[in-house]
Amino acid sequence: MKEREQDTGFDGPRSGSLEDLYVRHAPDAVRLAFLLTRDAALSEDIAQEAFIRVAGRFRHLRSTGAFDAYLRRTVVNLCMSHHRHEKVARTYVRREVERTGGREPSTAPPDVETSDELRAALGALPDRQRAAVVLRFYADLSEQDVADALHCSVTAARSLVFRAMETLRSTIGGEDR
Amino acid sequence: MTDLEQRIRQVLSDDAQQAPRVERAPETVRPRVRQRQTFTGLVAGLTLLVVSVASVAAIRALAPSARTQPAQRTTSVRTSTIQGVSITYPTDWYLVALDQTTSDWADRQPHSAFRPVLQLTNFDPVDVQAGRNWFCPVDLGGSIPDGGSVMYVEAIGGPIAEGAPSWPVPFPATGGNVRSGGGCAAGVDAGLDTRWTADGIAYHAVVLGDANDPAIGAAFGSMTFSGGTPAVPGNVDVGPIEGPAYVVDSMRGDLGPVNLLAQQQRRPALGLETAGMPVTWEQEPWSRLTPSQPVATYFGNEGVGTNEVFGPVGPSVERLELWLDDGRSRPVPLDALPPSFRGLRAFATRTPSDLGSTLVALGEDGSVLAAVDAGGASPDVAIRDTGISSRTAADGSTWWVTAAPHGTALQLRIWSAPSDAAATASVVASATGIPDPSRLVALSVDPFAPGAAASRSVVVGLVPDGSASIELAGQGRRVDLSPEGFVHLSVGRTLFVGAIDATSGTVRAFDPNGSVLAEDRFG
Repeated sequence: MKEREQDTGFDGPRSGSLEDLYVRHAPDAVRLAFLLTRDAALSEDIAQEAFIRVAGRFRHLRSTGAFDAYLRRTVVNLCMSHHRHEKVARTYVRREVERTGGREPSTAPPDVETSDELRAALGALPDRQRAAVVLRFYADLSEQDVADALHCSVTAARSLVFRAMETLRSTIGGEDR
Repeated sequence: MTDLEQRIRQVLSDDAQQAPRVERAPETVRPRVRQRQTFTGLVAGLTLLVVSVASVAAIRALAPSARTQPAQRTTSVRTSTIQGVSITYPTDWYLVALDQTTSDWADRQPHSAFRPVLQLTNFDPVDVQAGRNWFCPVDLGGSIPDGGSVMYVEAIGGPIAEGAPSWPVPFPATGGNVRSGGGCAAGVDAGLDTRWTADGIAYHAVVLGDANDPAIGAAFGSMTFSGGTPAVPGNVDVGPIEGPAYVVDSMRGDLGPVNLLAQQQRRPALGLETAGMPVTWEQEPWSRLTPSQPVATYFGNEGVGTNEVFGPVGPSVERLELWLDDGRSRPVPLDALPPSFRGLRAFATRTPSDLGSTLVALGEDGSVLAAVDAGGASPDVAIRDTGISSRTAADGSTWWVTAAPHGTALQLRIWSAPSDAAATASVVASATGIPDPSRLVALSVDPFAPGAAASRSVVVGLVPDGSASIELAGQGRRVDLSPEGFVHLSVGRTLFVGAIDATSGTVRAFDPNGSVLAEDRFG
């Protein structure tokens, strides 16, 4: 019975099952969020929020066995949402600096070694392209799963990966197909 | 996999190692999950409730007829007035105007004298196939069908008891038994048995069958009463049997068993007055009468298509004759009555249906003591006011013409059967809303004369609307049907019934210009 509950994830109000579910799925969610945000604290918050959202409606999920997929999609959504808010904030700060004649603070991602050319190029990718690359090459998802996580078609997901790869090639100057 | 892709994987894997480690769930996760689960459940439940309520509301809005189906009876209603009693009832119900001819007065005691007023049913009181002929209070045959309701209203003679409730009275469906000797179908379980007074008259109502039908209660409550004066000539004047006006009706043996009836009755047209000479019926001491006029008549038509006239004559009458409008006359035999009638004699005879006639009482010196109109030409297919049924036969076939009374809800049906077996009868024509079924036909022949059926035919048919006249012709005879007797149906056809002294022939319908609109053969 225990095995079956673990197979299907969380089943009912048993706190033990909820703890197990979190320990089993949260690390991957945190790593995914970290790769998308380059922010350790933020990635923990996003993973935690995503877990609460998915587990909170766990009984209403069409397929309880697809908890990973639901959680991954929620993490990506939250990261994309964070980037949008961050972009709005950066735009506001830049305008304020320009208006006051001050100096714009650095927007380089923290905690990331910027000397590595590829790492820098990845960080410079548009959010959705970077998410597509992470899902495709780190999470090792199929194009279909990438599309599901990004709420887009397979063709669009393939296009995102392709354009990201083109950008990375041109940035790092490598041509190694 | 390209080198770039491998390098990307390596970089991402290295970076992922820098992500925070998760050893256990934070303390805040569990309550937040629980809270979210509760919230999600509430939202789902509320959504389901809203959808359900909206669905039910939509269904009700889109299908109002289904909701009001039980009140289908509320289609349309009709209001009729019978003997001063107005009642509103569904148009598809059957209202029968009752009068004294429907009741067996001889079986009643004087103190319980009653006057039948109306009968309302939610089923056809006449159904030949079902063997049903249901007319309160005593002309009852067959049974009330399932779900059937019968409301019978009568006026009660005699003084009104003190404390009697006044109209309106409630409609309590109590399911009690009708008291013995009163109301319709005495002894049958009744849903209602109540009495009241209105405008100086006591009334009694009985509901048989289903008294829970809201329509029967609504019809009961709709009644209004306007005066105690009978609206239809010939109705009895309720009151003490010792009242001023009496008539003895007698029927002679050649029309059936001798019947002597005593009933309180006021027939101003006949000029009866009380002369203070009591007459006592030997076995029924409550019957007393003294007509001052030499002759009194009572007209009856018991559904055999004849015009019967019968009544008493006084001691001064030497002989009685029937003078026909064509100049002929014939004597009317007088029968002696018991000695208690103090010299009164009774008579009974038939008058021709195709001629007007006068009943003339002659004195000892041949002088005319009294002359009473004995009626004019009457329809071949005469329909009693009480609703039933004329019958005639032609070549072994049997026909019934049934109709509800004039002035009320009307339905006319013509039944056919190969023999007298009613169970095999079938409706060959029907009509509703007939203004006056007594004018169904107007023929110059009498197909109902005894012994005539074997050589005469009754023709029933439908012709196109617009027919100005119909001709029956056969075996050297011809009959023209008057349009006054036609019944226009709602289907663009005109119903006619005619009779002719022929067993076969042709029926033709003509337009106003004399052109033939329809033609067929009969017999």
